[in-house]
Amino acid sequence: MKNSVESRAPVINTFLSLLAFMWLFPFLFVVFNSLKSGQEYNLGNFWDLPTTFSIVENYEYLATKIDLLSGFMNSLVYGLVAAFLAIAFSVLAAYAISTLNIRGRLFWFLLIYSGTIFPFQMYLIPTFRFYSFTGIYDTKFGLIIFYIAICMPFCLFVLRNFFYTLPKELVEAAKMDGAKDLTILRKIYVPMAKAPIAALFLFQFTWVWNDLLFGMTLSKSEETRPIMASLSMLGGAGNNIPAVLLAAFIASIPTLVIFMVLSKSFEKGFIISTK
Amino acid sequence: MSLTNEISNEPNNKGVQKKPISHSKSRKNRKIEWTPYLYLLPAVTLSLLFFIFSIVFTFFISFTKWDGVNDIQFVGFENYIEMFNDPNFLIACLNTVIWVLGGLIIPVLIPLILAIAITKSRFGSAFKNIFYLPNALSPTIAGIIMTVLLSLYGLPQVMGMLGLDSLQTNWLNIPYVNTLIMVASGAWQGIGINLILFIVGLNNIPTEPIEAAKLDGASGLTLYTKLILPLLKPTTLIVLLMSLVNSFKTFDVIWVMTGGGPYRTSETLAVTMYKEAFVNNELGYGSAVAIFLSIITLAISWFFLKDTFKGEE
Amino acid sequence: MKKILLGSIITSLLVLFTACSGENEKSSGSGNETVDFFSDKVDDEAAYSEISELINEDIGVELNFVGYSDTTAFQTAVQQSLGQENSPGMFTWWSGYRMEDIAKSGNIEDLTSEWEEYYIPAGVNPDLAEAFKVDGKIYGAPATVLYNGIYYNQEIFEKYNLEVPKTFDEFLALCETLKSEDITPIGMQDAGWASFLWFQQLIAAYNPELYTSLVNGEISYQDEQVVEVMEIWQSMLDNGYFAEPVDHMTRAKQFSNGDVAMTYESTRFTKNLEEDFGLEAEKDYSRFILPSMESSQKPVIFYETSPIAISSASSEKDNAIKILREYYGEEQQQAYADQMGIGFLEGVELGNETNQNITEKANSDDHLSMIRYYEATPATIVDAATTSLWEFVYDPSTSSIENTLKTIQAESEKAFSN
Repeated sequence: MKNSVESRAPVINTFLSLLAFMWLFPFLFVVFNSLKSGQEYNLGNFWDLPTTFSIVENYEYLATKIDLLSGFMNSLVYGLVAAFLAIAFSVLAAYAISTLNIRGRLFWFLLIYSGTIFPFQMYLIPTFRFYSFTGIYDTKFGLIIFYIAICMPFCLFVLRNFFYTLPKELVEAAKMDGAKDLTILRKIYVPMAKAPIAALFLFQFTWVWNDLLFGMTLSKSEETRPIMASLSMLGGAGNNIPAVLLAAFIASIPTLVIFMVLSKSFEKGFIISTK
Repeated sequence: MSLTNEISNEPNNKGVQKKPISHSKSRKNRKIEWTPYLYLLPAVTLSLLFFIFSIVFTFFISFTKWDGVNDIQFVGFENYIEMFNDPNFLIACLNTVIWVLGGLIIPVLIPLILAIAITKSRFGSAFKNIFYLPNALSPTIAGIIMTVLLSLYGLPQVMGMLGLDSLQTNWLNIPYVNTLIMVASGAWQGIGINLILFIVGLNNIPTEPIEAAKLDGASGLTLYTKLILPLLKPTTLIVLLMSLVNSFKTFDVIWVMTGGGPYRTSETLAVTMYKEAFVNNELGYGSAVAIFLSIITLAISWFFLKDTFKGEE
Repeated sequence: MKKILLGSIITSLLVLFTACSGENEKSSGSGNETVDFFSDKVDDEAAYSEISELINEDIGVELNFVGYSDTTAFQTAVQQSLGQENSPGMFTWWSGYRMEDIAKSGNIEDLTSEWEEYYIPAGVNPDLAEAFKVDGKIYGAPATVLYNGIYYNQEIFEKYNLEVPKTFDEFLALCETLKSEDITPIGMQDAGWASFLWFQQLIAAYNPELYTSLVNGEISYQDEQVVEVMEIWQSMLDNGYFAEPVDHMTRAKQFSNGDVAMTYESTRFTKNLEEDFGLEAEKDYSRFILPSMESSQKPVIFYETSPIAISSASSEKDNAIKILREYYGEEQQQAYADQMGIGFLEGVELGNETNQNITEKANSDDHLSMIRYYEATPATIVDAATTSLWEFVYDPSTSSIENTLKTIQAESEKAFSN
């Protein structure tokens, strides 16, 4: 689809540039203001350019207030493992629901999908009780399985719809050659689903990385708490906003790195051959 | 190859392509095969443990009066009756409808147009990065940024400097206008996911039917409306439904920006649920709202999904 | 892609391994006994780590501060763990109906005898116990006390030769002068609950007894005295004495750069003004108490106090009780004051003159101190009142006074009938 550089290209690029500016605008606003010192920001006009360059100062303020490293490794592990396993489980389930011979496809789908329609806050009390009861409260294992579960519905939805569109001739041909279901999934479906899987990995990692509510409720010790919990210790109402923003940028680095790494996978369209 | 023939290959076609497989299988094997169910096992186990357990728990609580610590009192349908008689509930429903409508237009239509434009632009990947950027931020931080930007010293002050004095007020205090502003700022952070789904979807559309259609002389708008958009339908369905579900559940943005105010005018069902359950400690009532919300969302999801499952049984 | 997948598998195995071994580490403990202290006031962390050191020197027990920036997470973690051995030894809570809920469940310690034997002798004002009483027993110890008052920008007051008002009429005249100088007199916070602040203060300025009877359901909200107070408030709103309600940080900015001259806030606000805005107490800002409308009446200082409660079932209970006995020691309270600039025991140097003044006033006989509206009256009334008072603030009129008071009265009747 990229080959057609049409005569309308300038129009499209102008349109995109305008919208892109709108999207970047809050960032520019934030970047300018996060260069200011806490008091300069608070007292001055938000629309004045910074007169100081206070990144170091702000960073030092952060260092005295919170430990950004604590939670960083935890969240990295939670994000990578939960995203990976949630996708793995969803691939299996999506394959079964879209292709294999099972009864009640819609039922099974809705059973797993129900996780996404139920308001998140309502999970807190039953899950907390369940965790306390089984002793997995405040453990890494506990957080990981919760994150796997909560990430599954969306993955299942995307993968099921994707598998569903794949031409079934491929499967039939493979079956003729005597391939087993699992082999077909591994050799044909998963490689074809590379782009959606990459996108899902990004989304789910980001979701887990940014989660505060569950991470904070289901853990209490520093060894278990995720990064957003330590970040949020910067305080409530009264704040040094530039420092908070700086912390937010530092904390967003892993999600941005994963985005950059996976970004190419979204563009490479998989050419489906029906021959 | 004619255009119409190709379109009939599109997935939402009452499972025409599916049948052969299930047919041949069921004919080969009359008794129920259990191995396919093993594929569902991990996902279903976790769903039962977390989702179904929580939903059943909440369903039970919705028929009781409970403050979270003391004994649970069974009250029958009282919470539901109270809910439907509460004038604020109606306002919350109305606001939820606004969010859902806004959620259909902004987070679905804009990413779709953007995705098409981006796949056509030479600088596509740069633009994609820009639009995805806010998504990397945590919702809390995005909330802070938006609050600052919309505060009296943010954009309203710029309006004042431009001489538009009447706009130099706290926008978030104006009933219903604040809801629209919140829908928009929610979109600022939220469209990244939908955009990427659309890009992935567009890039995964088989090229052959399009080339064929082009040879047949189709171009521009016709190409899109007649061919590409129908082929994109599986992706559109995901984006549409997830936007709907998320609009129904919208809570964070509102809680951070207006807290449902002023005087509860921007409250949605999810905010009502939260306030009752966690602020007023009326977990029974809060659960009733949660169940009501979930049933509606489930019904809508079922309505959208049932067709794509037809003929598969 | 492959690298990431491979990496994920390896890390997942590593995690399961470390997660399991992590458990063992915890149970073996670090030698010292610790008590978990769950708190939703994350700003307090530094203060409590100092207090922990001091207490540890004395009795060999450490206080482990566990902060919750999210109220829901905090509430769930506390409420749902009560009654279990692994519940936190100590936790901060709210006075009022939430205190009542957990006290009635029998899951928190009755501290009545602790008050008599330890807290009162250490200098804690016995009146504070009122906020934590359920059925005559005291279930909490004050974490700290916050006093409310009207902050004013001294630079503006000096510029226009204004003086701190001694009567209510002087206060109104002051607002009028500011208005005529194009300065909005009073900044307002737009939080959903914040509408009760001026309501309580104006009612108490009219007549402190009216406030007490109102929150106890002994007088109707539709009583003509209440209507009169609302009319005074209405005229203040109509005269433009109040700024448009804005978020907390915006209001702090308005106050600091002189866009508004005054604002109603608690003693916690000073830390905000000093650290984030670089203002100095008694130089850039100060505070006064709203004068009473009748000169024969004492002005009222409203306070809020959040309790520390002890979980009965917790394995750390005994140590938690020991810690609370130490908590009101002079050094410990001084450590808190040094960090936060607030305190409530006599003899503690707050290091902030403005806060020191109000704390002394509150402990003196010239002023009355009262529990603020939010904790003083049942929650369902507060909920209805804060919502409908906002409706009045945004649209002050005779009919909205009528509607607002009618709504609150209806809730009040419901709450006090059972």
